[in-house]
Amino acid sequence: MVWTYNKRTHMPESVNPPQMAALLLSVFASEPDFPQIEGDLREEFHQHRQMNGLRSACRWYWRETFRNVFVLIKRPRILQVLAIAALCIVVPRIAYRPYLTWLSAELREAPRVPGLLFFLLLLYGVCFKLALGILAGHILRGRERILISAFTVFYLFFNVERLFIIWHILWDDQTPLHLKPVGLILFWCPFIAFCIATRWSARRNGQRRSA
Amino acid sequence: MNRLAESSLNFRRRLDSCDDFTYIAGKMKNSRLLGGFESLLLLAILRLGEQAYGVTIRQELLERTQKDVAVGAIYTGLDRLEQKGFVESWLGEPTAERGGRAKRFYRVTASGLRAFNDTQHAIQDMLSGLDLQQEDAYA
Repeated sequence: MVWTYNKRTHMPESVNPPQMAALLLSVFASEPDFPQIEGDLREEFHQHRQMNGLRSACRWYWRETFRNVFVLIKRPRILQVLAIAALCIVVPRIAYRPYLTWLSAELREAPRVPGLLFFLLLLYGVCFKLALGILAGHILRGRERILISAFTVFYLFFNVERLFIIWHILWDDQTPLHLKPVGLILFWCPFIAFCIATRWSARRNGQRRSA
Repeated sequence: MNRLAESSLNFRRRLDSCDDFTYIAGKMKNSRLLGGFESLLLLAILRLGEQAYGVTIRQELLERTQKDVAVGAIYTGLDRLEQKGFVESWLGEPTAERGGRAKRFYRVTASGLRAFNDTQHAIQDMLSGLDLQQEDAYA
């Protein structure tokens, strides 16, 4: 048999499954048996491609990817990650209302400084998410990729309403230009802070392990 | 205190006098029964011999039981069996058709075989005296 090789991956073309499906599956790369699962899927993909053609093989691979995602999600190790990712969303949301009430009461008597409330809310969001990111990354050593993926999904899901408001403000002609990015910054900065903190925690754990 | 010691002694005497119970307790000691899927996995590994790994086990299950199982579920089951000491595994050579990933081969251990036989005996014991051909058995 003549193999044609992919220039980027240096792997035979017939074992390269759909990239998006492979990416979706790679979220679970922290699982100890992931290399075997991926290898088995690639081997069967290769067999399907030889027998039924590329299109059928791609369809099969996508179907198997979704089936395996549902199986892997039910594992206790992954459920633990999902629970912690959900907590990282819920805890700041619960604490947000009392913080805002306290902050408003404090600022009522303080001299008016433009942008102070925005800055304090941003500080709250970023610091809280940084701390949670470090903590979660430390607890879930080696499972940062699935943690960040789960956190992204939950973050977008729980903030759909806020996303609509931000979108509305962005396209509203009456909103002053300097206020337009406020929502975007308040929305994305805590998210980025969480991702950076988790990655930093993961790298630190990795360095400790190798030492 | 005396009463407690006395009741414990009485309980032990009653246990000793119960032959059936001690027989079952002795027979089941250190044996763990397998679930349905675990039994199927063990049988598939036994049938495949030295060639038992994820793909072949999946295909064997599909061929013989018409059960299309996700490969992740197979590895979950195999991992559970390995933790219980019923199967053992080793890594093979990485191959190009697997994208450079190595195969993990499986073999049934002696305690795995014992557990399978215990499960079969337990099922036979439970089946004895039952007539599953009767129509009202399916009610």
